[in-house]
Amino acid sequence: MDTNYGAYTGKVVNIDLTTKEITGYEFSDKERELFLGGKIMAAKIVYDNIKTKIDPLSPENMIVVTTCPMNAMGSPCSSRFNVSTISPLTGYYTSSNCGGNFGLNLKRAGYDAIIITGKAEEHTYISITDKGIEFKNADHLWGLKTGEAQERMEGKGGKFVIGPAGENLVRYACVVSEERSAGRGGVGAVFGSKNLKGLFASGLKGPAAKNKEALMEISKAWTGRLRAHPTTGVQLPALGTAGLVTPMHAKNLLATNNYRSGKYEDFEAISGETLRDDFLVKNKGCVTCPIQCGRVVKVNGKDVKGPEVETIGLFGSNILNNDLQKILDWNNEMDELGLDTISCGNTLSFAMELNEKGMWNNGLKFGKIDNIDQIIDDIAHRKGIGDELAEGSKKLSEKYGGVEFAMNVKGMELAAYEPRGAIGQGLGYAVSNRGGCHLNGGYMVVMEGLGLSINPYSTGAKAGMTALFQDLMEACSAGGNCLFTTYAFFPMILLSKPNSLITRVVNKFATGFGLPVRFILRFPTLIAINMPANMLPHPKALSAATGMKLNFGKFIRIGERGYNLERMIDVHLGVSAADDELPARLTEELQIVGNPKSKVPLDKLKKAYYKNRCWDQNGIPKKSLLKRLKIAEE
Amino acid sequence: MVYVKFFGSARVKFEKKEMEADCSDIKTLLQIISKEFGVEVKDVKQFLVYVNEVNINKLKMWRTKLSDGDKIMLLSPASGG
Repeated sequence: MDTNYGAYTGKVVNIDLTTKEITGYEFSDKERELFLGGKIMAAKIVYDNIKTKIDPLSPENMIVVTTCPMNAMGSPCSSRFNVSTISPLTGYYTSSNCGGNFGLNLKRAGYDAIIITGKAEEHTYISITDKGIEFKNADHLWGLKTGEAQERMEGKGGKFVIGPAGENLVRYACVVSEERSAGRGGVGAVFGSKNLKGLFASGLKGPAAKNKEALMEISKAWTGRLRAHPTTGVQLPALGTAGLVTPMHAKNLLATNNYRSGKYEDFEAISGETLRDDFLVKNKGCVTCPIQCGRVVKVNGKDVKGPEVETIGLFGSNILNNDLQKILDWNNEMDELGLDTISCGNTLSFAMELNEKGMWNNGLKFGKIDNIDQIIDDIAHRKGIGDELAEGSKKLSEKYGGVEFAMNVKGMELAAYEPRGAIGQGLGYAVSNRGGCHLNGGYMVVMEGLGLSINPYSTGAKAGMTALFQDLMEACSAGGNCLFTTYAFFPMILLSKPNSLITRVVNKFATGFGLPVRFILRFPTLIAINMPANMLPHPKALSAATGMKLNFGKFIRIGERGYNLERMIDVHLGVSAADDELPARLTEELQIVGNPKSKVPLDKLKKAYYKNRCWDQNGIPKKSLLKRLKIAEE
Repeated sequence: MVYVKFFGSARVKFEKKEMEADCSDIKTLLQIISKEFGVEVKDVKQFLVYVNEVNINKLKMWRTKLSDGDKIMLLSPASGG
């Protein structure tokens, strides 16, 4: 295998844990042009190999770890790599993105992607270096938490490991590299089901960029723009993602009391400001990142990674806990055990409401935090009620009832954004390929209150914007850049001067932009330009790195292809419009008494979304769309 | 007297959590804040301003009247995560 493009190694391999065979996997340059890398490359591989429903925890499932063309190219925020599989939480496709150093090392070891199939007979980890691939015994690592497992895994390089949660097949177990997690969808349980403790990668030299000088110039300007931008240059470095807690409260977006409210009266106690003033040791970021949104905090006298906003919301306001130090402790412990903090917190709040309503006597109560330490450990080890909580909120609701307040979509628990305060985000959660994910959903909250302030209750243009931002983020992820780099997509004035006339005009009239947005979605390649003033440098940077001729339109089309490809994997696994639903609490109960608009009008939004996407009424991409996107259906 | 709390980049810029002010409208309040921290009024105007949890965009912007006991929040112009 080889490639004529820069920034790729040209090598993809299949590693069969059952037979211990390693074979080359054909991935052509034509496919690189269509599917770019990262999560879209992984989707193409999964799409070609899994055509019917499978048990995600069986040897039939595959794990696809992909690097991205921008990895190891020296561009800002470009260390993101991807892991995809069929999720044990949803039964559908999931891809999870991680900022740890494993991806860079995998690429330097000489691989664009590795595909892991089968099941090892013994506890195993896989060593991938520029000298070759080896199966190693992992008995000495089994049972260890993620920090110690990485320390004790032999060699110097990138490590990507599960903790006890993955070993015990918790359906929302994650995989950790350094202190960064591929958090969502239960990828860690798929590792565990294959007796796979983790991966090690190391190599000295990655592929070169096609046009190194041009890429350096673009990267320099890009870094400057990120540092000058109000969100990536001020807000995120100073407060991390935790800085969102306050504006989320102010705008009715902070999940509280199992999503019964968007406001939490004690929000200040768990805010990014309090985290900064009382707990922050220093900033930290992924390798290659000028933003440094990560927080370093103290837990038991040790410097560890601090929590993101989702963890704070779900272990703070959503369970009515105002003790930020406890959230820091739990966040660290969940990283060590290898648990997705979003699904874990959300499942706990659901269990609390079940208990409150007398539907499951489990000892969990809103505002009662003295048993949470033990419960988290019990979930990871599947002890006591932890064994049931390890199944996630959907399976719990099937057993105990309460489906209307089990806050998941397709089985994946929602993030901390309460969507009745931003109905476009509600649509995004509902139609997201991987389930209740804020990012895969299009992250419309950034338009509806956190960045811009367009009418959060209007349905105007929301369906098209949701699809457009899904495609944009899809392409950005596939390229290998952090999604935070897309903030620069918004003209600076709109984010730095919210009270200016131009910003207020945009906020007022943006919901009337439905037709132009639909035009972009339908004919993206007509926009054969690169965005001005480095608003979206990704296509130019990718062109310089790979030698492909990309522009804004082609970039969006790649994202659209990826999103639809993922949808088609889900269609093969049985997804339909009936799965694109929200819990009734969000569509039938008002968030604010007296405000009849404060619920998600999902039916109307979904219909418009399918139309914008060229999907039929059952949520299936039309054949003409698949043909246009060069997605071949047999 | 009104009570002002600084959040987000306002907290970072002014390095202060809260203050009290004696004023009857937002315009005057912003002048007081600008004087207190030695910045221009236009720099204070860049923040989102909430009065009793309502954005002044939904009230009368800078002409919004204030009453004793009102709670004012200054927030970052934009946030992301």
